[in-house]
Amino acid sequence: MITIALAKGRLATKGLERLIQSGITFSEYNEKSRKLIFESDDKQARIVFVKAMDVPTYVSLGIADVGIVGKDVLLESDSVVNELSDLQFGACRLCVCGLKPLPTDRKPIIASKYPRVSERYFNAHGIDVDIIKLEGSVELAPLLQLADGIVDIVESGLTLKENNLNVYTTITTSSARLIVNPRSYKIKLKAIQPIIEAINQGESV
Amino acid sequence: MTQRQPLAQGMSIKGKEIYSKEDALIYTTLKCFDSYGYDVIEPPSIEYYDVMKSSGKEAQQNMIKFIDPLGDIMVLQADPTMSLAHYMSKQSETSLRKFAMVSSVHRAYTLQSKRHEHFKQVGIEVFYDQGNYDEEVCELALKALELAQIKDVVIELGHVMFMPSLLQTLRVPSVLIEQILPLIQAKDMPLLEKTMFDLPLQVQTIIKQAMTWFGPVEDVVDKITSEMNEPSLLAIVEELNQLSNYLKQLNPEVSLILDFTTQKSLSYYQGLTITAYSPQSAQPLLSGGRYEYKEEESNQSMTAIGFGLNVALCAKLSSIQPTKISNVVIITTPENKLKALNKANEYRALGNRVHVMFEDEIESNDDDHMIVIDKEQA
Repeated sequence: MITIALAKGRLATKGLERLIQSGITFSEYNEKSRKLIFESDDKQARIVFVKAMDVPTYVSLGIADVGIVGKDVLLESDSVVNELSDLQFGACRLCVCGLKPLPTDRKPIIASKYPRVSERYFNAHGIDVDIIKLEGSVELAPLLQLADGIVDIVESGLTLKENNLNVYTTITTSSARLIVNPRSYKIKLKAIQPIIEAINQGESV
Repeated sequence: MTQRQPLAQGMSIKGKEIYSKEDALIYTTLKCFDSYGYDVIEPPSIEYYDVMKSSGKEAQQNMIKFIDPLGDIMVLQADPTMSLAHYMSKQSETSLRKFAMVSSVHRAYTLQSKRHEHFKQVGIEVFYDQGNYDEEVCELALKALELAQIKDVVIELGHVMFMPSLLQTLRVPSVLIEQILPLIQAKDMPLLEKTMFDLPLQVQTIIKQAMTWFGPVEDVVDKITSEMNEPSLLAIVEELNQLSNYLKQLNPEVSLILDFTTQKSLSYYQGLTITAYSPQSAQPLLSGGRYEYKEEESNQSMTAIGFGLNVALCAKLSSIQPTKISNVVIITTPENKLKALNKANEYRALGNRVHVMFEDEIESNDDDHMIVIDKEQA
């Protein structure tokens, strides 16, 4: 049986849609259910719901064979997985934002859910910063003077606007990626291939 | 038994069953290697950092280094192959030498909160100057896995020079080859497409096809021979196909795959690679390959092939039946201590695991055979 790790939310909904469109159905699945594991009707696959940041961990350690995750999460995780395709949904940008531009007369403080990506970005640009790791509501950090700026994902920009925050730099763009465990991809190729095709084929749907 | 306190971080109770399985695995595999004429040796636990330099940059970063009292940089054994290759390069004649060994490998490890890892491996190395020992070494890898009695093992054969040769044949600039190779290994199609954007469309198509050149032997061989006609590359395909046939002939049940997208996991690998996987493990059970070792000082080079099998991992997945050891508890009083100790040795001589305990320390345990030597008996 092939295990597919999904992060609850829009990426999971889209991923599931593609599986169902290709005939891999999950009758037991109910969006409101608190169950975390659902088997496909043909018992050839199962989906497991995990936190977005944990998808690469489950896949790289082989607990899940396949996963759908944002590129932003992949960049942060440093997990060893095969990144097979850009699924062309869940588009967003990873940006440096704040109430005003970062100070230049002292070391800026950056709050982020993405400390590794932030560190790599600022190091590459020769900017010495202190990074504070936050788990959520990152927009609060500049408003409450916890940080001078934040590194976070921006989709529509509405949350930033409502909190009077501005985008100063786009570090990278992100979208949903199909990932597989390298070992599973080799030794379960025949079982994984139809699932990969199902998720990929949705690109044109 | 008396309630035990939890152990300090880094310590664990392995259990007699696992030790017994590991011992059985090491003993049976070494016995097998010995029957092929391999000298059983023990590589050093501490090695000069200079000796390990040929392992490659990534491997070097994961070595645990320290400075000895004489000021030399040393490492905890990170790659016994390097120790052996260095030793062999100092020999005046590089004739055939076959080694079998058990060694502990230490590495820095950054996954989650774990900082270091060490594992025991049992393996072989063959140094030679004529012919090649691919079949023999792969045969021994197969036998070691059979002796480990692990279900659903898949053996993968690869060739690290295949993909670089293909890219050279396609006249991909060498700077780009360096960028493309890791992306092929990672199967990172989105980034690969961006990286090779300036290459001719036909070349891009072949590279994309080549990304799928892995899987069951017949499927891969058919796919490559129908999609490519470069003789030097087809010769590599045929080499691995013949090796697969040889292993199939030894064990028709063996599950084999070929992977022509394989890259060097260690910088010194130069040709055939062999890896064994289990669906129950994220780590390979066994890995190895053919390599060229070049001694920097003497500029002497030699060819070798070998593999290492992860003992703890294989023991965990193995269905080898460990020797059944009975627990015997002798309960006694301080006055009867010597009598109890003598009795304990009698039972140990019969292969039992014997605890001698004094009366007020004891809690009963269903698994134990209990003997009471008390005042009445004395």
